[in-house]
Amino acid sequence: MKNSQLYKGSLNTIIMKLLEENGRMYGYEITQKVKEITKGELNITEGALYPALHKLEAEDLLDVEVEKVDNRLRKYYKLTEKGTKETVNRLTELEEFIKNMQSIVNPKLSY
Amino acid sequence: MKLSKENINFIDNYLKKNEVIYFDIRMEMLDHILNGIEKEMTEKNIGFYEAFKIYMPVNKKEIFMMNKKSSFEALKLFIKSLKKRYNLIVAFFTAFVCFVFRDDLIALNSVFWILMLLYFVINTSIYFLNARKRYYILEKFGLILNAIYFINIFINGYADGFFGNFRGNIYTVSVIFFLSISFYVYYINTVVKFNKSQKSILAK
Repeated sequence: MKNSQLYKGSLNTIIMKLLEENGRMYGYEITQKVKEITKGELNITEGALYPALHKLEAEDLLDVEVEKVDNRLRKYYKLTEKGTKETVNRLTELEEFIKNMQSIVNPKLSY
Repeated sequence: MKLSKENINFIDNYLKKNEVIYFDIRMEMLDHILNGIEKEMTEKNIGFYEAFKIYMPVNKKEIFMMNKKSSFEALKLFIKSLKKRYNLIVAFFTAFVCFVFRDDLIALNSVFWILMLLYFVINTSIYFLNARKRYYILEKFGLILNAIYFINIFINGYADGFFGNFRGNIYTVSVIFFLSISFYVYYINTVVKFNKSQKSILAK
């Protein structure tokens, strides 16, 4: 996807949804997972991903675990209890948004 | 593909040379870059340095965005944290203390300077206890404290008449006292979380 602005507003929801499904993940794993699911169409950049993860962590929606893996430290992110509840709300919001966008872009399909 | 300690140190030194001074940011960048290099090595069946030369020029700009932290982000998060429920208790506590010491507001306001000094002592101790590593997660609080410092000077003035006499009243002193205490609750929460993550690394 060339226009990355289109998904930036939904980046936090994408991250939270992935963590809900996979339990805990590290930054690089998230970028690769998104690439894999979207067959390379959506490329989450490091400059957008890490600030989003740190913000979610500061808002107590994500918890962090640091582990030593292959001689280096790896930071894993997982949803907190508050984060799990918030994921449901944000997914509902996103679904509503997609539905509305579809009504605008392709009115015939929306019914 | 597992990388050697020498390979890992090579990237770590590369990041240090590129002024990634905070350990917590460097740790995450290091793992990210090493994952990218490992992928290149596996997919193209090449060596470490060759993979580094392919991976880094393409991804450097984006990866180094991780090192560009906005200090105002910390300030925004602190302001957001003021809405947390525990701050209601802090507000009642500060209002009560200010009411009790209403005749000695200068002494009460000087508590702020002690709290500022305490922040410096805690951060310096952590720096020396953690092999002189600097952590962004702890140092970002400096800007918040600076902001409270300037608000304090602006609304309360100095007690010794250096830049004008103390001009605070019970309301303005209460505001500074409230901001200072809620700052400390927010800061201590972060230090506790930080210590927990440090212990989890040492336990492995």
